[in-house]
Amino acid sequence: MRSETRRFSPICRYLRNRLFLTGMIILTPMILIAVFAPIIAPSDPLEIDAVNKFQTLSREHPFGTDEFGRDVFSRVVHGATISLRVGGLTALLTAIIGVFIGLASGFYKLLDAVIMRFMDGLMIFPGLLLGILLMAALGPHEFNVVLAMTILYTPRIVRIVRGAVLEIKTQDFVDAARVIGVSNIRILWRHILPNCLAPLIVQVTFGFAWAILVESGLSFLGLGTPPPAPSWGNIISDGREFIRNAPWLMIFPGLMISASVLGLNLIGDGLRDILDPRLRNIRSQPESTAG
Amino acid sequence: MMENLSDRYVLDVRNLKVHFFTDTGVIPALDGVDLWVRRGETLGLVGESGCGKTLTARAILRLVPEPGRIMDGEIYLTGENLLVLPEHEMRKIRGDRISMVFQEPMTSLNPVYSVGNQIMEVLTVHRSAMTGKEKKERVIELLKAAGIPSPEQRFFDYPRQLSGGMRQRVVIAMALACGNPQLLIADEPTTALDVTIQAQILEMFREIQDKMDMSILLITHDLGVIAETADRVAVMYAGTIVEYADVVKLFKRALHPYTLGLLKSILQTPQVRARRRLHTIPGAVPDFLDIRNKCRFFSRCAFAHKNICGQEEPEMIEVEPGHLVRCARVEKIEEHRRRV
Repeated sequence: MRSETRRFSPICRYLRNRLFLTGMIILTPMILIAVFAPIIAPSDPLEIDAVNKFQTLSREHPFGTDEFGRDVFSRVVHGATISLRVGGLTALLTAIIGVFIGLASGFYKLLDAVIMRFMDGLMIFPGLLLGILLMAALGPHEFNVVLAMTILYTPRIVRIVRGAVLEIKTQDFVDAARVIGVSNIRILWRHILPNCLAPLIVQVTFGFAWAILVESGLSFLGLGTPPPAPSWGNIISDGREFIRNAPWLMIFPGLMISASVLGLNLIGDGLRDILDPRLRNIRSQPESTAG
Repeated sequence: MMENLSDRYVLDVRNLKVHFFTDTGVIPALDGVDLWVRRGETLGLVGESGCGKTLTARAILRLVPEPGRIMDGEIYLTGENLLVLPEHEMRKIRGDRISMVFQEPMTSLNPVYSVGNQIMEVLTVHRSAMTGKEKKERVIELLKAAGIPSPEQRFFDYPRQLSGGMRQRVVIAMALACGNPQLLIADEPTTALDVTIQAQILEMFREIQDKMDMSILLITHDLGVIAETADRVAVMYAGTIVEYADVVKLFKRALHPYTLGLLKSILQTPQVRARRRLHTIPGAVPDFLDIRNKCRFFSRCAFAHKNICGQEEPEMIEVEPGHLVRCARVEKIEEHRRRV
């Protein structure tokens, strides 16, 4: 009996949360599309077909074609791969770097003063502006987009982790660990880090959504993933000149961006409720920087 | 000479001073504490909140919280001065030769690990030669020794799944994990527990002590616990020890006015029956910045004399072997006792 309740209850707890469930329902197909893009897409997203440009929606081209006659459906499907990859990689990198810096900052007082001033310095710039600056300096490359966004988002993760560490390090079990002779490094990894994971996971989820938005924003400005690679931002950017005649060029990638960001935000809110009941009813403030 | 001392005293603290460096000034939170614990005995350390009991325990482990610093003194553990050891040597002593049990079993266990896993950590830190299987067997043995039923299953339980009493048993098992600590510091081990569990835990301490010939430094504000458990008592007030005595002597012939006040403040049945008010010591622990050049208890003492107690800090005097008191008015108090 006991082991059974244990095996099933965690999953139930996640699925009972409506926010999380809705978010998952939206995001799961996105991820599947991104992973199986080469199978799903009917044609090569880069294949130019000058004869069939600006075709409206048809059975052959469900989302129509663009100015070079490229199949927009294939481009949007492959765009999922790029956009989710860039967003996911950014979320992962910020999590890893943010945890290291945040742990050090929260635990060692002297380091804290230096690190936090530096992080404050990074945070006073408007996100997209600094993103433009960084991309101009780094040059267009998919990984550079990830790098620039990581630099932009890491301070937020650092703040979250640091706050959690500051709270947790005063708890008795940390003292108890010291008393049995555990070293500082081991206390950080074994006793403090696992207790900060809840707010971290939530923040990283929001970071994922944020990264998709910012990547689109940068691509829209021609500073993101270099064309002709079909990231969602790129497709919108290409289509903006033809919005009167061929609105489908912008509508479908726009919908995909909205849906994935919505899904991720719902998941983030859901996780926040599930992992930290104290924070229930406090909704996240969406940190939209680009659209 | 030194050899002799270390034979008799497991712990010997001399003139321990811990100062807190705050924005408002330097606070001498421990101001020359002397303590000694013999092999196999229990020394009770009593005093009201904020007098420095817990700080003394932490200072012995060299874990004084910020912004405190150990300024002076010597702490000998079986003859070895802990205050001159490098930090990594000190870490080897914590949890192995000196163990500590905390007041709050609810918060002194990490919520993300099973209790078995947490006890195993002590062995991982101090007995790195043991294999995983040996460690697990040892932990189950410890849980059993700590009076936890079906230890094989409880090994995998998380702290939140256990009651307060069970958690305190886990904490005690953790303190004993390395086998035979020379000194066990118990900081109000039963304060958070209800009275029946309290009695069980105290009984357990006694059993363990008999079995292992271990010394215990028992910190409490509950004189009932002292009467049941301690062999000797040190009464602490405002960062210094004001009276030492054997436990029987303390209850019979306490001499320091503060100790007398504490003893009078115990709730007793006749008092409850008569619906009399509980005795309290007037005033509060003095401001640590304002205790120079007078007796620390001066402002609250019924026996105080302005020209004697208000002029300088009284010396510790030995009224008889093993009974020391830091009071300049001992004769007056003895006289008062005879009259009452």
